[in-house]
Amino acid sequence: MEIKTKLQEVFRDVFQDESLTILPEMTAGDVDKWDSITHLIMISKVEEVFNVSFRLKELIKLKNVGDLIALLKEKTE
Amino acid sequence: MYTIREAKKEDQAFLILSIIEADKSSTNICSYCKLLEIEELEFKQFLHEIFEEEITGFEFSVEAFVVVEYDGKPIAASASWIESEEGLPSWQLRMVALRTVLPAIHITNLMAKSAICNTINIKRSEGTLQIESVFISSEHRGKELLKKMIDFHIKLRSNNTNNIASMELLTYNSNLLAEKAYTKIGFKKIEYTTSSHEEIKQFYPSDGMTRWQKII
Repeated sequence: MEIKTKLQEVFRDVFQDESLTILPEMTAGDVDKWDSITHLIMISKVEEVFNVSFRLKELIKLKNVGDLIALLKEKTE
Repeated sequence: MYTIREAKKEDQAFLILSIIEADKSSTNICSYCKLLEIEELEFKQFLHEIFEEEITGFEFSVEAFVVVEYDGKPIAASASWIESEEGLPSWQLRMVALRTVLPAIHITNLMAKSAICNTINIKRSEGTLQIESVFISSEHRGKELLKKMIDFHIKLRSNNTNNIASMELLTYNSNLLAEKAYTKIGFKKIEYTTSSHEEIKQFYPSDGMTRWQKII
C-alpha cells in the first residue's frame, strides 16, 4: 500500500475522523483533535504501522505531513 | 549587585530547577512529575538529557534562558522563544523531546491522562515572544528582576529579521503572586481555562490556566 494511503489510515484512526484526507501542507493546526497527547499517539502508531523508529533530530524537523511522508519514504525504501 | 546575562552550559542545573519550580508555582505539585508518574529527581535527570540535544524553540534548552546573578551566583532565571519560529509549535517540541528520552511507561502514563490535560491546556500564539519558566529565589523577589529579565529577553530575541509585536506567558490561575507581578509590568489576561475535572488538582497546581499578553 502506498505510504500516503497507509498514513491516512493512521491519521483517521488516531484523530477519530473517518473523512480526514491528509495533504502535504497539513499541520496540527488543521486537525481538530491533533494536540500534545494525540501527537504522541500518532507518532507511536506511525512507528508501529511502518515498522520504523524515529530519532529526536528527525522528529523536530517534521513541519507538516509532507515532511512525515518524505521521512517515511527515506526510512522504508 | 545583580547582573543579567544569557545562560551558559554551567547553569543547566539551575535552569532545570527553574523549570520545575515555575511549574510548581509555589505549591508542591510538579505537573510533569504527576502526569508522567515520575520522581522529581529522575525527571530532572531526563531534562538534562534533553538539554544535551540543544534544540531551540522551547524552554528545555540553555539557549532559551537568561540568568540573573547575585554575588556571582544564579538567583533567578527565565526562558523565551518566538513561538513556531522554526515551524514547530513549542508543545510539539516538548512532547517529542520527552518521548525520546523518557522510558515508554511514563509516556503511556501521560497518554492515559489526556482527558484531564485537555481540560486545562491553552495554546500559544504563533510568532509571539513566549516567556516561560520564570523563577526568582524568594529572598530576591520585589527587586524588579522580572522586568529586567523580560526587557533582556525582548532585546535578545529582536533582530533585523523579526519584528516582535507582542509577548505572551501562561500562569496557573491560583498563582496570585505571579498575577500581581505580571499585571504590574503591563500584561493583560486574554484567555483562561477552568477545569471541572474532579482529579485536576491531583495533577496540576491549580484547576486552570491563564494566557497573558503584552503588546511590545
